[in-house]
Amino acid sequence: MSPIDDDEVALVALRAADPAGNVVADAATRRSAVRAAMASSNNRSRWSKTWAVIIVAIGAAVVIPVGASATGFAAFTGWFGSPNPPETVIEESGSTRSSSEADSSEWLDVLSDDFIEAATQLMPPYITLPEGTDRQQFARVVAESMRNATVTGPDAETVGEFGALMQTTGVVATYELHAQCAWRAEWIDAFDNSEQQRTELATQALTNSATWPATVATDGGGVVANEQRLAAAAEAGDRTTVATEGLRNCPAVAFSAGR
Amino acid sequence: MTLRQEINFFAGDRSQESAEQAGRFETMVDPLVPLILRYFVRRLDNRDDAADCTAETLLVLWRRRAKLPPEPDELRAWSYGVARLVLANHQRGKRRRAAVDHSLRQALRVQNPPPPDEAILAVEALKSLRGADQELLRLVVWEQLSVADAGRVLGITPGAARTRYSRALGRLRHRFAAINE
Repeated sequence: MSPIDDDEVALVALRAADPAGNVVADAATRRSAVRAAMASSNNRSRWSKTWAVIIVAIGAAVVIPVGASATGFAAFTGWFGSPNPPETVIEESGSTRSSSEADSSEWLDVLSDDFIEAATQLMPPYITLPEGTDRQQFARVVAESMRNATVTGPDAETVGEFGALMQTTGVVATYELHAQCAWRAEWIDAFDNSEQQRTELATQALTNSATWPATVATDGGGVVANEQRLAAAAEAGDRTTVATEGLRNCPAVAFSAGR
Repeated sequence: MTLRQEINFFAGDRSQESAEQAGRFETMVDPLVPLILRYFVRRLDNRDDAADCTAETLLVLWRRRAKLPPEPDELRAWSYGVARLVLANHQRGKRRRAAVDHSLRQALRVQNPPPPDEAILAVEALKSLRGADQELLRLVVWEQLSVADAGRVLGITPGAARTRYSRALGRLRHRFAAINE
């Protein structure tokens, strides 16, 4: 037999030895797997990170302590920091680096019955809102939207089964983002109506909000710089930039919450 | 356009764009799921780990969705490259915060029937080769990639891949013949 024939004999035998020969994934399995990946994405864009919902894998050796925190809300898990050691991140270039996407703040159970109340308590006093905004209503609506994103959105079928956690920093960052968006809309409206004092007030708010603590803390690259750029655009009367770039990254609920 | 119309335009535009992107991703990646799953089953002893690694690979693909090659064969090879890195990560003992999909684990509950004797010997011959040769042969024989695409997964040129494959196949042939005597 020629070497080529011998090659074929070896290859035939190797093909028959395929340990995954009978592995199939039906349509439902494939759909479930792909959507689970989409739901658990921890995309580094600031918008996605604000909505970062960490899905705890069943079987993971992580124990959530029993009992609520001193705040009295069951939503506070008493669990701080990253449940996992830093993971190796695959960069686009193929290089890898280690990173942890969690800070040391406490995790909240988004599906807890009192999550909305707990989250509203987290909205910091330094967050300012345009005149006429009902602050409590704003806080509640934003908290509800955080929860709704996990229980009624397209992620629900996977997130609902495993539970959903959100860190305190993420909750505060979400409030900051919604307030920043509310101020952008306020600036545009004031500018369009030639209300100088109101325009100046909104410009100042945008300048201050660019360096709010959670915005800074969750900046994975370019977020603070972008906020400062929008504030500078407002200062310069650049309506186009504020409207196109400022509104594009905003959740719709930011413009109606508390109004 | 009023401010309200602008808000609706941008917010709606983004949500519609996101939905379209998600739909495109699902369509592109759906056929890769069993392929990636089999990739890990062939390289890991524990089938639950294979399901975990598959989920992690899909997560990476989703994160990189803006960069996915549009052509199916190129996407398939690119995905194997990602899977290879995920496998290396797994084998370094790193834990991941990936969503563990029970349906993937269920898909792996079905066990293979016992392989014929020659197949067992072929695997023994394969495992006696050096790691790089093993991986190249697996990609071509089991993942059914072209030699050139297998080379792309491994980060080598098509020419180098052809040369290495030819040598690896020769070594496999000799080892198999020796074991099979």
